[in-house]
Amino acid sequence: MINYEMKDLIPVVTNLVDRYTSKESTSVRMEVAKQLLGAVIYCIQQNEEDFQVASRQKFEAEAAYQQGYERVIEKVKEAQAIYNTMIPRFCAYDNENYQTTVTKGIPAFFIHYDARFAPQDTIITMDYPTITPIINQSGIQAISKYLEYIQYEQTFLSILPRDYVCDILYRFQCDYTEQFFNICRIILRHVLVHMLLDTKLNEDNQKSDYINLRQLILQKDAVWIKERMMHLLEQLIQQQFDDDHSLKAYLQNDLKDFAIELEMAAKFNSLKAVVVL
Amino acid sequence: MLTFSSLYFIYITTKWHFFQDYQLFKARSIIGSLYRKEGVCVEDYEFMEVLSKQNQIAAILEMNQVTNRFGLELTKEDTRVLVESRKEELIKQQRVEFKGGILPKLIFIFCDSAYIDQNNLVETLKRLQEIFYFYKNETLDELSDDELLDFMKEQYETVCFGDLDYLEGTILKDYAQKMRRGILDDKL
Repeated sequence: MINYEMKDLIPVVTNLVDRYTSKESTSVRMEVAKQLLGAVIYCIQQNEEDFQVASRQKFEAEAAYQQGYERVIEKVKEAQAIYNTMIPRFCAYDNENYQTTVTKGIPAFFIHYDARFAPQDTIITMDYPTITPIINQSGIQAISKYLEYIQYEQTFLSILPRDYVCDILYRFQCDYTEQFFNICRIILRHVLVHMLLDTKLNEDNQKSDYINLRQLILQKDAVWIKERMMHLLEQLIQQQFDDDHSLKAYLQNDLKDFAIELEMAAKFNSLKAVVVL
Repeated sequence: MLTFSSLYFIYITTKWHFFQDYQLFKARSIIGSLYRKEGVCVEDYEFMEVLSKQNQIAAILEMNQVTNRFGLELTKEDTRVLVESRKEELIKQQRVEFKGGILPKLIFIFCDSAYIDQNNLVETLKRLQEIFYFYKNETLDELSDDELLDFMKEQYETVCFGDLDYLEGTILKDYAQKMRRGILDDKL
């Protein structure tokens, strides 16, 4: 972030305090001051993000704040448009956490989000965990990212029939509807391992499949597994998703963990806990 | 002759000294750390602190033009004491003031009180200022400055008869409790 001196920021915060109190109070509580200062800094950061490629021109703090604020409003509208496009086709696969987070949590965010006085507040906890966690981001920035990830997951899951996905999830954990884990990860692992073993998806799992998988994993290390999975994922994305690089970039974030988990599970003969075949 | 509109002008203009409350920022490591975390430069505070105090003192001294009509006058030393007290109160009550502060308005509203004379002027203003900031918090900022000051003045004159302890410990305490519980009958 471009360094603004205190004397540049104080007038901006002062104007915001005026708006907050409707000029009816000369003082505010410390936490309110902190919140408003955070709002100014957040908006300035949003502005800088947009201009960082074009130039490192330093705006006046007030102008930078105003532009940042307008950018925040634009981002909210963009996120709402993305949400409205996604929600008619959204499927939570009977997972209550997924359903509640997307159909209740996110609309609540749009209702309560305050771009003027608290743009840095994320408001909701985004309980459904995405493959890539949202870190170091807040407010509309975090929600936009979260929506993007949810969209990737929906796109990926939509290639399989709903009942099939539910069946895999049920086999992974019979009470999956009440669990707080990532659904997409379970299905992705299932698909990739089938590709690895060169078996068909809709075939009933055989005990021999797990034995074959274990033997294969025990011969290799985590690095090899990760590279192989990466290759399979590329294949999958090319064949099914028109080589969607963003989707690939999102899904591949699970591969490192998956490779290590597979290696450990093979060692301790507990592959069923990691992947459903 | 000073009219009300000119007084209002003085008050508004004195509000436009941005740095006068800067010392509070300095005193608050929480905000300081936020600035540092976000990469904002934090330097040259001493200059702003001095400037702030001078602006405050000038604004309060200007109020002498009003208080003189009621036989009251604040010296530079008095104003310094009041400004110091304001700073301490703001820190104590965990509040931040970005503009001119409440003192000029407080002086304007209370200067015609029957219970304030030259002997108790500074002490009374100090206490009133303390009570004001305390009850801004206690009423959860639901009252504007004007509403709280008007209520304080009305009660001070007609119910407390100049007793600040009664105003603080009974009248305002009761009022703030009712406000927080949402059972306030009469509107201000």
